[in-house]
Amino acid sequence: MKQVFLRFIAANMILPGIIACSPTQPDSAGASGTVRVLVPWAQSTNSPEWQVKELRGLESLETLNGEAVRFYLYPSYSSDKSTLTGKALQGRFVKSGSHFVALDDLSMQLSAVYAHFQELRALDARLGVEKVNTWPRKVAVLTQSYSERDNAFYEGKKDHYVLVPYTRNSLPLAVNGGVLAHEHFHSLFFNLVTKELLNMGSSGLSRLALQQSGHKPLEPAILDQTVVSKEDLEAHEREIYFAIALRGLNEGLADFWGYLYSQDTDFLGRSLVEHGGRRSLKTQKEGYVSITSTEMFKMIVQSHRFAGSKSLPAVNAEAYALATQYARIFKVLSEKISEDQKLSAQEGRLYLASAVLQTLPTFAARFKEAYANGQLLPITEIFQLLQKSEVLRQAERSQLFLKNVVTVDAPQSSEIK
Amino acid sequence: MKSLVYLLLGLTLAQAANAADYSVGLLMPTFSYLQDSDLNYSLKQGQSFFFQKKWNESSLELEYSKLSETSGNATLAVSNTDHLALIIFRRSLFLHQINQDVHLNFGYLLGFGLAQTEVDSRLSGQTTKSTGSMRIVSSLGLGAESQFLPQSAWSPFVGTDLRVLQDKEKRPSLYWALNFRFGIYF
Repeated sequence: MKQVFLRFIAANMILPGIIACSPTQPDSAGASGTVRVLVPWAQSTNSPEWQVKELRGLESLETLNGEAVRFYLYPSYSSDKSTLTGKALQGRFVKSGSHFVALDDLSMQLSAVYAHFQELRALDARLGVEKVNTWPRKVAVLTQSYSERDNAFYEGKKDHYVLVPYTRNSLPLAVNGGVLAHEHFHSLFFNLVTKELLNMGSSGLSRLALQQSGHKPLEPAILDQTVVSKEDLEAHEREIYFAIALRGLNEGLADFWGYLYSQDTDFLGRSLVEHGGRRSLKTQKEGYVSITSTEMFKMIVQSHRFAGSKSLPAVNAEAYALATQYARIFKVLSEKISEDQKLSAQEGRLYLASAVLQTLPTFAARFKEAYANGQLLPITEIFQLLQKSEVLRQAERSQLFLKNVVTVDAPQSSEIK
Repeated sequence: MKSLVYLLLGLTLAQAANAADYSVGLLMPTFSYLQDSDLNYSLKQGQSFFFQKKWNESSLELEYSKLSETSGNATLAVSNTDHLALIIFRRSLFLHQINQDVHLNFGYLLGFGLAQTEVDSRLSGQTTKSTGSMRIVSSLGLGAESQFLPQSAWSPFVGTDLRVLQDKEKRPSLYWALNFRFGIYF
C-alpha cells in the first residue's frame, strides 16, 4: 500500500512537468493586443452574417477588456455608490487558423459588443466627438435573473451601459449594432445636454434630466406631485412637458443614430419584433413625415393632469411616439442634405449627425433658459436651430423641408397661459 | 451509432489478440462540467469508448471521448464538440470482494492526451464550421469499478470515474468530468 501511495505521489509530480515541457500551443487565455475573432455582424439591411473582425487593444481575449470596452459581470456599485464593480468575463475561445472562435454564446456576443464599440469610437472621431466620452466604455452585463428582460440601458450619472438577459428567439440585442449605437448616442446626449441641466441645480429639472439617461421609464415621482394651486398645476404640467419632450428628442436622435450606424431603418425590429412597425424609421410616402405641434402636445400633457402615476405607461408611450416622429424627420432631412450636397445617402446622414452634435449645446442652453423663465420650448426647437445653422444655410431642399416641419408650430405659443 | 461501431471494432481487436486480460467498453453517458463565460458551470455531454490492457493491479487504456455543448437561441447559437484521445494509466488502490462473483475495486487514474474542438456557429440559419487546433489535455481522477464474474472466460463490469482535467489552451483553470463506464473483460 505504501509503495502504491509513493507511486501516486511521483506520478502527480511528473505530470505537471510533462505539461510544462510540451510544445507551445496557441493559447486563447494569453491572446492580447490585436486579435482576430469570428463575430456575428448585423450592420446593414442584409441578413446578419459571420465576419472575422480585428479586436484591437485587448488586455486579454479571455476577459475581452481593452481600449474599447471594459465588461462587468454580476455588476454592483461600490459602497459609496460611485464606482461600478463586477466580475471579469471568462471568455472561451479556440483558435481556428488565423482567428479565434467563441465556444459559447456569451463569449460570442461580447466579442461583437467589443467590435461594435470600436466602430462607434471611429464614428465618434469622424463626427468630432471622440473626446466627449471617456474610453474604454463600461458595459455591465447581467446574465442571470433580473426583473428586466430584453432591453439595454445607458446609465448617465455612472456612465455605463447595461445589457440585460435577452430571452427572445430573434437577434440578441448585444449583437445588434443599431441598438448599441442607440445606447451610445444616449451617452453623447447625456454629456452634451443632460449634464448641463443637472448642473443647473433645480431639483425639479435635475430629476427630470435624470429621466433622460437611458431607457428607464419615467419615475412615478414626477407624476405623483400633489397639485393644489393653479401655479402648482402649471409647474407640474411644465415638468411633464419637458420630461416627455426631452426624452422624445433623446430617444428620437438615438433611433436616428442606430439607423446611421446600422443603415437599417428596422434595426430595432430585428431583436424586438413588436417594435418593428411602430419604431421603424420607414416613412409611408417618399419624404412625407409629420410631427405633433407644440399646441397639440401641450393638450396631450394636460390630459394627464389628474391621472398621477396611473398615466405612467401612457406618458412613456407619448415620449416614444414623439421619438419616432423625430427619428423619421431626421432620416428624411438626411436625404434632403444628400440631394443638396450631392452626397451618398450615408454621407448625408453623417453630415446631419455632425450638424446635430454642433447644435445640441445651444439646444441645452435654450432649454435651461426656457425652464428658468417658466416657458416651454416648442417641440420643433431642434429643427429651428438646425434651420439657422451655418452648415445648412445654403442647402435649398433641406431648408424647404425644415420650413415645412417648423410651420406645424406656427403661430408659436410657448408660454403657459 | 459511431460508438457501437468502435465497440465492435474493439471486440474484434480483442479477439484477434487472443485476449486474456483485455477489455473494451463504453463510457456512456459521460458528463463534463466546466465553468463558462458567465462564471456558471455548464454541462457537456456525450459518450466515449475505450480499449484496455490489464496487468494485475494496473491497466493502460486508450480512450476516445466526444463531448458536446450548445448555447444560444434560435437565431444565434454555438455548438462546440470536444474530441479527446487519452492514454490512461489506471491503478487499483484496493480490491474488495463482496462475494465470489462480485468484486468492487477502487483506484486512481492518470491521463494524458490530445484534444481538438469543432465549433458550429449558427446565425439566421447560416452555419460556419470551425476546427480548433490540436492541444494537450491532462487528467487526474478517482474511480470505482464493480466487476461481475459469472464465468471465467469473460466478465462484465460497471464503473464510474470522477476526473479533474486541465486543457492547456482553452482554459487554464481546471474543470471536472464524471464518467460512467461499462465494458467486458476478456
